[in-house]
Amino acid sequence: MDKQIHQIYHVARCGSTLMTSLLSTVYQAYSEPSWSASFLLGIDPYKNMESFYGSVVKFPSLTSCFETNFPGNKVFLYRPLAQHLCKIKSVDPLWIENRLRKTDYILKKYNHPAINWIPKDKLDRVTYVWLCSVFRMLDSSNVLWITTNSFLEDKKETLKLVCNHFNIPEVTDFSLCDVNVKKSGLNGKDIPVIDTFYQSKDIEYTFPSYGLIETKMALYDPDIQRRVEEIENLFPQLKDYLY
Amino acid sequence: MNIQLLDNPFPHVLIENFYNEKELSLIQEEIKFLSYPNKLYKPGVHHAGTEGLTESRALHLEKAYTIPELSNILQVTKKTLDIPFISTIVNKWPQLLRIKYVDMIITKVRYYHNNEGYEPHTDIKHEFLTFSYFHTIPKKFSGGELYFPEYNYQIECSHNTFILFPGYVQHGVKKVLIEDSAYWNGDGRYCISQFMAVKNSDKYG
Repeated sequence: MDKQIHQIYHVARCGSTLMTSLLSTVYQAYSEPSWSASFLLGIDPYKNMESFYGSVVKFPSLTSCFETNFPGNKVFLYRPLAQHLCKIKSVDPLWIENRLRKTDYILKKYNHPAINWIPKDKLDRVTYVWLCSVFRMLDSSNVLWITTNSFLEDKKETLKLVCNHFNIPEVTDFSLCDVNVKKSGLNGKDIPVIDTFYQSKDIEYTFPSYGLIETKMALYDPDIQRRVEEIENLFPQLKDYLY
Repeated sequence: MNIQLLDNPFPHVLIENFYNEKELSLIQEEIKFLSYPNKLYKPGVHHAGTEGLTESRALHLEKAYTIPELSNILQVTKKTLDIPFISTIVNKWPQLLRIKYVDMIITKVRYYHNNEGYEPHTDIKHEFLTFSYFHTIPKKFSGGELYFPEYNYQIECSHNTFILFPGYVQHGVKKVLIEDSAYWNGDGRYCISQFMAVKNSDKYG
């Protein structure tokens, strides 16, 4: 068996479940299986990975904050910081609270050495996680970087790149493109994503450009503009990833 | 997409190229279907508009489709309440907070042919209004601008332009002028209107 995992890392709420779902039409793909959260639970992540060799695995977003050495090629799906903050400011506050608890753990035990900055409030902590993910991915190798907008604007072309990077068959079935995958309960299951789809009774469709966020729109929020400018001043090397 | 959140002369959002290619195609398919005779109604019939203010014909989509998923337009226009978009509006203009709680939308497709406009009026029953404009390329009519007489302000309403503004703002449509075009050719100005309201505000405290 191929002792590799085709890995998808991401910054959360950025289209990674949709990408995994589309890949699942041609290949065995899992979306945040229980084992993949090992880092966050303090469990040896390499202990249970054998059964996932040869598959595509989308990891929980916070996993990208850790130094990972799983064998295989990686995709990093991300929104530039301005777009990311705009998206996160619009999601359910309970989801953010739950995420922030885990953020403290990363900050205390797994801070990336390039980040010499202490977040002051909730949105700063969201920014911190984004920074951590970007720095870890910059450290990593065999990573295909994809922005959410480029994926959502041209899903076919992006999936072609991803399949080529993973050396798996090309996706040809794009009928899931406009499905609101977040409402289909795909994450956290230990069975392939496509099997969960087959078990779903109701599939909700959304509008085709769902998920696209323009940087210009995000920067109309003065709070976001201020924070992104602050990060640009602190980490000028990340300028290309911010807007 | 070119988005502008403009403060003057009143808070409004103006977006050029609002819908992407696939969304436009879905909208245009349905507009073509609705442009056959007897699918759009004169003012005063089936909630199509106010008699005396306009001669343009329209269809109230929520009345026409009991299963909204059957309408491309009702699916695609969910985009106007996309949460990051609405959050940005509220973060810029906190006084428009109620847009986050919109729970009732009336959607109409309206067609303006030669010599048809809409007299100035307000839609005060609705807290927010959105209009999206569509026409054949190249454009075969003149006029049809959305105007705001109290502010001496108007927008051209070019193809795939979107505007959102508060319902208290008086607005009208200048008469469309087309030469040599049969009504059902659909060479005039199409508008998808959304009238948004907060029906049940009690639950928000």
